[in-house]
Amino acid sequence: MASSSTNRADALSAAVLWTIALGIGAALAWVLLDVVRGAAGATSPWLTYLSSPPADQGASGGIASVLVSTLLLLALALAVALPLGLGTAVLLTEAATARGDSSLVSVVRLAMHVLAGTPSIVFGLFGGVLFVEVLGLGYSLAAGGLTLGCMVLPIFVRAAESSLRAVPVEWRAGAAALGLSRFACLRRVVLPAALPGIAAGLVLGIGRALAETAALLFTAGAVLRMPSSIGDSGRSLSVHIYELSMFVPGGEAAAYRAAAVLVALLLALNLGAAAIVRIGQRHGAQG
Amino acid sequence: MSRLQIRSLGVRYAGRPAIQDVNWNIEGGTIAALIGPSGCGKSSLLAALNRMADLVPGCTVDGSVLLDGKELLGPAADPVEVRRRVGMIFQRPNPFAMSIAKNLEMPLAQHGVRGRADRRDLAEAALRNVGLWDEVSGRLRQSALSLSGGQQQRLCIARALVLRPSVLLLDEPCSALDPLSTQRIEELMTELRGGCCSLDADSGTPLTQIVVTHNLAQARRIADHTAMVWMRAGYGQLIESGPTQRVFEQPSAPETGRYVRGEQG
Repeated sequence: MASSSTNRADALSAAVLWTIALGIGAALAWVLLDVVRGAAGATSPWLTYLSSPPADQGASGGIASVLVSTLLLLALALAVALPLGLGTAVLLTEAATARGDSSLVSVVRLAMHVLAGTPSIVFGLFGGVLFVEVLGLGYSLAAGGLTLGCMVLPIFVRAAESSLRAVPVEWRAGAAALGLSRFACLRRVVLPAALPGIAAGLVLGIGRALAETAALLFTAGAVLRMPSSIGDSGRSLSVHIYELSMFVPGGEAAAYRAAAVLVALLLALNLGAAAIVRIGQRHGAQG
Repeated sequence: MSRLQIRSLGVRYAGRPAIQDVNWNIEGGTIAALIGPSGCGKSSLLAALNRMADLVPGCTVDGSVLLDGKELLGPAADPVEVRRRVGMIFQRPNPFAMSIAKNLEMPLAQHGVRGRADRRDLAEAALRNVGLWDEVSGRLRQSALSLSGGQQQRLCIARALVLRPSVLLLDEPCSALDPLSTQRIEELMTELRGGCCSLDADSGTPLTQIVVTHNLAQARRIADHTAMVWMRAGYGQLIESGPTQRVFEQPSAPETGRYVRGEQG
């Protein structure tokens, strides 16, 4: 009796879990199908679409200028978030392992947690005041990229810190016992071991930056022209989709097509990061 | 003069004494065992000898440890150099998540061995010393984590030996291993005592080993000298030391007698 009721409970929980898993899979498939179907009606070839300038406020023509603006924004955001974030994460873990959690470390960590959950519109207002007005950058890719950098920073720091912390203490002890300095231990043992998690955090951050719309409206603006420098305003892909679907008559098909590009970029980003991690691990094992 | 002279050594955590008043001489080229019940401060004593205790928040060490007459404690001694001369093996094997070869070559590079070929040769010699060469020579570029537990521990010993230390500290090196791997480690320790392959870089004398163990039979099998640590007055004290056979058969402290007969601790 007992075993048959256990079996029934097992079967039930398995069914529930499978339903949940399938439901999540179905939701993703639905989104992808919707985007692909919406974009399928396009007439011009994809390569032409990607490489030609937009026309009719984006309702026709291509997205060359939008792609360039998007990549510039991401590059700027990374240039800010990567060194600052890695430095902060290393400081948080190293300070914590050296002296126990000091109060400064817990304040910084709390700040990072709050920032990671802050709505992007708040970052947009902040960036709009600090970068656009106070620092006088105006509506520009520079202001947008710096704002995105601020948004990516806490996400990246959290992910990098947790993967640095996950490095077994035995390895730190082993490195110290071999007479390695703390810096050598960090560089040769801890960072390589934490690299997959750090890369994952970076992708998470880039994903958020790529998807961001609200914060950019206040900082980078929505100018559709090809930017000639990072001092120019520029329109990111997600802003482009927003503008097309909200303000451009007959822009829906174009919005779907841009959305397909955005989803493809995110997909490529994730696969690329996974490949980098794999290569990194193999290289670490061989080098 | 003894190789290693420990004088009035004490270890405290946040001011509370873990082990105090340790006086112990260890001769060069021997194996010394530290025995005693759990939590009596054996590992704290060991960690004080190569300055690993420095890395524990709130831990303070006082007293003196002389290696060939040179002080290892205090601000005058460089912890990095102390740890190169006094290696350490841990309870759980802890090879780094890199290739077998790189586990040995990386520490060499960090300690200034510039030539790639030199590092390769020294790594090979160390692997031969621990009897691992024949087992791994075909897969040096594979991850060290793919080795068995016993092989990992021998790799860790090779990794310590590659820096040619004078003293090797082993903190229960076999407690996570199966009986067969344990036997290999014990054989290896005995070979290293013979000095066949472990002449240290500085004085050319054979390796001195200090092992913490809960396995009394192991201490009896491999140790030349044995010291007994016991809790008295709330902290660990080294209550007896001497030749292993004498400590086991004619202990001078009553606690040692009860402990080695399995009656207490």
